[in-house]
Amino acid sequence: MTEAAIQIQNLTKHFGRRSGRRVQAVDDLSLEVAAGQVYGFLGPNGAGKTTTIRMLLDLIRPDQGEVYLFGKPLRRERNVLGRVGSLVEGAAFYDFLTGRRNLEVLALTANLDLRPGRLDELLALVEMQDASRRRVKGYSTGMKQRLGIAAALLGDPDLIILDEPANGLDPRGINEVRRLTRRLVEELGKTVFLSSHQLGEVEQVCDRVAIVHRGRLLREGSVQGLIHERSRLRIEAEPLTQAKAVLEANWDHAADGEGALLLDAPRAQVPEIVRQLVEQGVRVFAVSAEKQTLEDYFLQITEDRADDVD
Amino acid sequence: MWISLFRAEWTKIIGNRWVTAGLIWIFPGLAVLATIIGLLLALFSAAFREGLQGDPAIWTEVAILPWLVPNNPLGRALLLGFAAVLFAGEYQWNTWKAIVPRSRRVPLILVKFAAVAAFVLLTFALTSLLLTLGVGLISLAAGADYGPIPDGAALAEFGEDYGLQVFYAFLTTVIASGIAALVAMITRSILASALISILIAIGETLLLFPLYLLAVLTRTEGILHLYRFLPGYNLISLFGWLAGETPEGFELLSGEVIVDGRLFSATVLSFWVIGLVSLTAYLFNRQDL
Repeated sequence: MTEAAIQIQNLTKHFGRRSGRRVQAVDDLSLEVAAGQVYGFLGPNGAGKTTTIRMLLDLIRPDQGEVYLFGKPLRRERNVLGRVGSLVEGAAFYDFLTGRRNLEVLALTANLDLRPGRLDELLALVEMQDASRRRVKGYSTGMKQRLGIAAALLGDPDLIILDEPANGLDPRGINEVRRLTRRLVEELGKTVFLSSHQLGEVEQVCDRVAIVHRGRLLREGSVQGLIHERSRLRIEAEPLTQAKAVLEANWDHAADGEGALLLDAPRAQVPEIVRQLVEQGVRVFAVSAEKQTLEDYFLQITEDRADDVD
Repeated sequence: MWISLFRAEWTKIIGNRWVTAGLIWIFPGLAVLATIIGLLLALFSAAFREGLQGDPAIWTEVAILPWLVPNNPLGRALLLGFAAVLFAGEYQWNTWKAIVPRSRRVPLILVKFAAVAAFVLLTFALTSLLLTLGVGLISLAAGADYGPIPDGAALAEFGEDYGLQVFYAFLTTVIASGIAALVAMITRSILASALISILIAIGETLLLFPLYLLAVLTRTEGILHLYRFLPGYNLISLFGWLAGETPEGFELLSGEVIVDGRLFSATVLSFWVIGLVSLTAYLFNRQDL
């Protein structure tokens, strides 16, 4: 059995009181990230993603629950963070130092014994060799972000936690980060825990994803599995009004869509839908599943959840 | 690990050129500037030469001069500003999040104190050396004496005075760093940390007046004794003793004047140093970053 790189058990964290209310940032969150994969961590703003990542890195302490990294409890065996590299909420560096000097400072702080040429290797990996002797003050956001990725890889970590790594990058940069992320996993056997708003990127790069909302885990699974969990069916039938009545009586709201009805339902339920329509005298001409993206899925379930709460 | 952490802190201090130059390197810079001005005066002003020949400089006093800076309100403000940048900077630049997962928190903060103290003390030592040599050159150019002859007795006496001044500067620096570090942890801003630290340092020396008021209102003279345990009072007291004078102390309602001894002040200050550093380390270890 593959060792879990991350195990989160019933993690809970709240912050003070805003407008007289306690802000529950993370609420009884549990999940497991197997080693050797890219794991996406998704959620709308304020979902608790960064708070969770900060707890994974011992930047903040949970109110309840445990974090295990490579099977070791973080609370008691903090040294396990030596196997972790991270980039949290945008890269932060000492502006007055050069890029290279910043990496040296981070290596010294982590007491890393870097082999000769390691810095050059990392700087080349993120295409920052030329700028590395310039002060960070003059870097663009994208350059800082790239240097941040190099910093995360400094100690050759087994687990890399990247919080919005594509922020500030141009499309070429985003593509490079995507390729680098896949390479880290496929060629170097690392595990990447990736938080991102760029759902298209996540869909392309992640093996599994967790979706959190208001501090709680909504869904977890493989990207393809989640996408196919729900699909938008396009049903061509006559008469449409009767078909709509049948669908809305037994299923969900069916929207009108240019001579057809659109229904959010799992693909697996297509035979049952057709059977009921036919039984009610509706003539079914075609049923097709529209291709759904992770973004569609994400929006659906987070909106559903917002509706539930509101 | 400790050496590695110290090297990292040192690199940051040296690398932050503008802050370091503006707040700390200004002292050796002033020593060099004073030497240049003194040399020009010695070369081109007969009155200056005659004045120096009539009242020659004493190198044992000159060497100690820079160590008096921490007792000066401006000098202390610069130290507080410097410490505020180093401690609050990590919050304001958001760099703790890159550092803390890679290292244990308590060593990180302790090394920061050590690096600040070492850097300040080395800078004052350099300033002292530059000024001592500079005034020597000026005396030479002016044809003035520059005693005393560094024999065993003179060196022993100088060593003791110098050591005490270094200890005093160390206490001042660490206390300033402790105040700045605690304020930095709360405000997470360099400017706020510097300003509030300076206000605390100044306000603390003025605390005698509210204590007097409270003592009068409550008719409890004992309250005034609290003042004896504040760092500002003890720094002034210790400085007085080190300067070879009896400190002024302060007066109780009964008219009795309290003057604490060198050992008392040094002990209280040592407790402040240990207390501030320990409290900072304890709070930092529990802080959400």
